[in-house]
Amino acid sequence: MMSERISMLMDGEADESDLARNLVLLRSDARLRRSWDTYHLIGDALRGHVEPALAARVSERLAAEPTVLAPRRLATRGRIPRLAFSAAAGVAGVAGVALVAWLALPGLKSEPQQVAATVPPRAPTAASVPAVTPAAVGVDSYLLAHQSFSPAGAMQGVASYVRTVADERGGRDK
Amino acid sequence: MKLLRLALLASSLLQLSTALAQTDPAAVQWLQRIYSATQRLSYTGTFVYQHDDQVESSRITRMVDASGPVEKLEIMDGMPREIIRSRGQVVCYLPSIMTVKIDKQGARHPFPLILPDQLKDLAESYTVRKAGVERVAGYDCQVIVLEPKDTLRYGQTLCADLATGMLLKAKTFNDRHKMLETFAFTQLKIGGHIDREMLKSRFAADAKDWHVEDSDAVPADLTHAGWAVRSPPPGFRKVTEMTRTLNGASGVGHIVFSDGLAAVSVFIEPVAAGNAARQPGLSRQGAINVFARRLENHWVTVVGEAPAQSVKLIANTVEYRKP
Repeated sequence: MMSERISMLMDGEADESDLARNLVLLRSDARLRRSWDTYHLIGDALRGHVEPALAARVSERLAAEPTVLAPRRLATRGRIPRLAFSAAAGVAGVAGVALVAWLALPGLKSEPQQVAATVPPRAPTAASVPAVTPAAVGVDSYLLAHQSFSPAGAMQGVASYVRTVADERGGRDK
Repeated sequence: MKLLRLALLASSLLQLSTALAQTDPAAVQWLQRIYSATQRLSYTGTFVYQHDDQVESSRITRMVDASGPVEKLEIMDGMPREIIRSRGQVVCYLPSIMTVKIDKQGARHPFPLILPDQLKDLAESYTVRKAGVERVAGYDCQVIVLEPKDTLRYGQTLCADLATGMLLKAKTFNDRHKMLETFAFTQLKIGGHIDREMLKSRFAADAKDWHVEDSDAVPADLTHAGWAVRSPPPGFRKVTEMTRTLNGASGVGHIVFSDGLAAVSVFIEPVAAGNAARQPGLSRQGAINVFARRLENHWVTVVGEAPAQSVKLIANTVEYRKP
């Protein structure tokens, strides 16, 4: 509960009254302050904002305490605050748990979600996955819907739309 | 309490001013020039799109007259494909699957977005600076580098015509400075007479019998429907949200986030017979990462020209609360 408040505080989501109350709590409770520091450290480490040695030490600590934030994830079913997830992802990373999943949409190159030290047997690539997705269902429709909102794409004019019709290239990744 | 908040505010302002200080205002002006040229110029040319191990060349024609701009893109390699954009509508002609895809942009938003705001966002997440002058497709062009301040976004190297501001080359690179995709003109003629006939699709007549997929995008309040992205990664702001028809499914939720340069789209649709067999996970094309996960019997598909890390982060903070 409290950790969720800290998370909201860090994300700037706490409202005015909460903010004041939480800051008071934070000042009076050393345990909460440690959580606050830890969360920031985790966030910074995952975003690559700390020097490598420190990141490694944080990873070691996380590996030693794999359940550090897990209870909160269960407690807040349906709501997965960024920090809780980030921390969980970090734990998965240092623990060598490679989550390998593939998106069976035609045309795109699939790749492992995480490159971990212990690489599991290669999962099938998009090309060798049985054609479970009907041909009409492609990622190009998502790209087309997305493209008009890209400021970078807007600088290129209609040229950037070349991305959105890659599917129809006729088995280019086969 | 007030002191602490003041201190926090002061430190964030300090960070902001340091962040902005690293950016060269002259380089930001170049970005403005590019946006303006994008809207103003007429041209014909050929460009290559390179990503992963693919190279594809396309012909592009743009004409602006009293009735507004019309743009046409013809892909020259592989399957013939054409895209025509005019009056806020994008039409893709895909003869290989006898399909016309239509995406109406009309009332949703004018492009570019409100430029000063967008450039301010951009300068908070990227350091923008001018580099040397290069030559692309016979034009001398100014190199502008957009270096991301963290690993949540990709960097870009742009090269814009010294005389007109027209963007001649754009490269996207990752945090290890590996090139992910390149757009570059190989031949270009800016201005001059352009025949309106050149902007019509050669498939226009045949396409009357083709399958039509219309996006039917309408503004929507997805938060009200229970869907929200609680904490997008730093620098990314919600730009707009809507529902649309996608791959035959209507009412697909679409939320867009942007950091001023990159955009990330979140699509939300019920698991149905047509998509139940899809696999969750990550896939990639050039600088585009796609991540799909299932949540509350829905598919959450996140698409963006941002690193896998960011796309996943956004996908994993999508949540549903019964309204």
